[in-house]
Amino acid sequence: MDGEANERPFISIILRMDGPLVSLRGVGKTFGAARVLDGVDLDVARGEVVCIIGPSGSGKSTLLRCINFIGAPSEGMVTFDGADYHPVRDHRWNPFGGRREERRHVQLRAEIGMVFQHFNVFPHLTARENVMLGLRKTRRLGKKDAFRIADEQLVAVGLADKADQYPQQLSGGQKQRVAIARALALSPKLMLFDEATSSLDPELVNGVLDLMKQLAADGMTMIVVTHELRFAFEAADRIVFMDHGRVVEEGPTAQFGSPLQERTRLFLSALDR
Amino acid sequence: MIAALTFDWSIVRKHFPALLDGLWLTIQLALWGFALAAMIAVPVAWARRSRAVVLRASANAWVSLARGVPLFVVLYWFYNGLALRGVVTLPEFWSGAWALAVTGSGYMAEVYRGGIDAVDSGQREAASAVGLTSSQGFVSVVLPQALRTIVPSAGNVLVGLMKGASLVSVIGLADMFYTAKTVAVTDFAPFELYTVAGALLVLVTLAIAGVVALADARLRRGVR
Repeated sequence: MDGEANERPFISIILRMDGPLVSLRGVGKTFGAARVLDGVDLDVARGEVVCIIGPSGSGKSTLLRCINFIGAPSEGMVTFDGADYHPVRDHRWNPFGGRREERRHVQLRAEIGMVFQHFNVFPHLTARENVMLGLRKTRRLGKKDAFRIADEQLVAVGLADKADQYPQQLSGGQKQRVAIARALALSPKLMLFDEATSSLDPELVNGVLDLMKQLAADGMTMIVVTHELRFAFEAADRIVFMDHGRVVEEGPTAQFGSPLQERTRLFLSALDR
Repeated sequence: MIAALTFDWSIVRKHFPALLDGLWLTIQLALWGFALAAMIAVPVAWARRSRAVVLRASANAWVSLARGVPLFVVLYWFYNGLALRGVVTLPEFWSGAWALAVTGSGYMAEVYRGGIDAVDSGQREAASAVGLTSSQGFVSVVLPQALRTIVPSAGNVLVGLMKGASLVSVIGLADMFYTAKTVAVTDFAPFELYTVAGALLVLVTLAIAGVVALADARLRRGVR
């Protein structure tokens, strides 16, 4: 969350010259016979906010999980911050295979924050401990520093008074804020949001969306899978519309006011109603 | 008819010390068997979840055999089989303990697997997402939650082994049922001692259930 909002265009112009932060080339994913992702290309520049929209089962979440290799792609290539990552090799016959690959993926994930639809906060840890875990294990910080940063992050998401509560005692919106604080505490270069508000009660949605808008305004690079069209139109620099595992249409947010593709138009008008 | 319903307490009193000795033996056997089973089951459960086909298949075979072969047979293998083949001659106690350990390991491997599978996969993903390695994620995130399922089920396995231990008289160990069998023959009183032995075992089982409930309450603190 560094950098003033009004500096953002300048910063992103300079950084964009380094090439995109994330770039996907021909990324595909098959689960058995099902082809969930089919040759997706996508570039995301530093500081850019990209929203991915599309019907359920169109591969949006799968795509997101390919980027940080929580669900590794079966084909294609992911480039993050200048380093290339390839599909995981098959280590069925070798119990100790793939260690080096795995280490690289762990390092990759340490640079990317992710927020899940079902929060996935750790129920056996307090809000503060949830945020501290990554700081302690991934950033190898001492207890004191981790404690301090965790509290700062919880303050930033408006949960200063909930640090000692267990997730069980928190509302959905509060859990999702803990999850956001947990991701931001590691100062990621990229934030992935996987339908972060889809399982929230309606009255709690806006609080989390506001937090995400704030984050976008602060210059965070974000890839957001969402059904909240209004959020997409307000916060995104670019929108990607996916269907059947492919990118059907992508472009600046304004383009989606009157989409080029018929399929996109149908989807958007169905949501409007 | 009436004779069958009377309960001769004098014969119970006479042999009660021997029963208690037998009970103590049963408890020791079951605890050793359980401890060994819990340890053997760790690599087995790990192998069952491995990506590697060979490891997974061997572990599955171990679990099927350990659970499928009757304890009675396993006892004979350890007591007679190993000695006759000249592999190793185990004292009766350790034959019994290892037989219980092998059988128990099959069940414990399943208990571990059930506990780990019961943890939502999103938890492991979230642990990876904050940069934890899979082993860090396992220790800090999966295991503490898995224990909530593992502890009560492990209590059941312990109770099962406690009852299984009542078979060890077949290899000449003087447990409660050995005493009961002897008395049944010498004093012609088959009813009393078996019943009391069974009741004592129920008491131990209840005690185990109590300990498990305490441990469970501790694990659920703050989380529910």
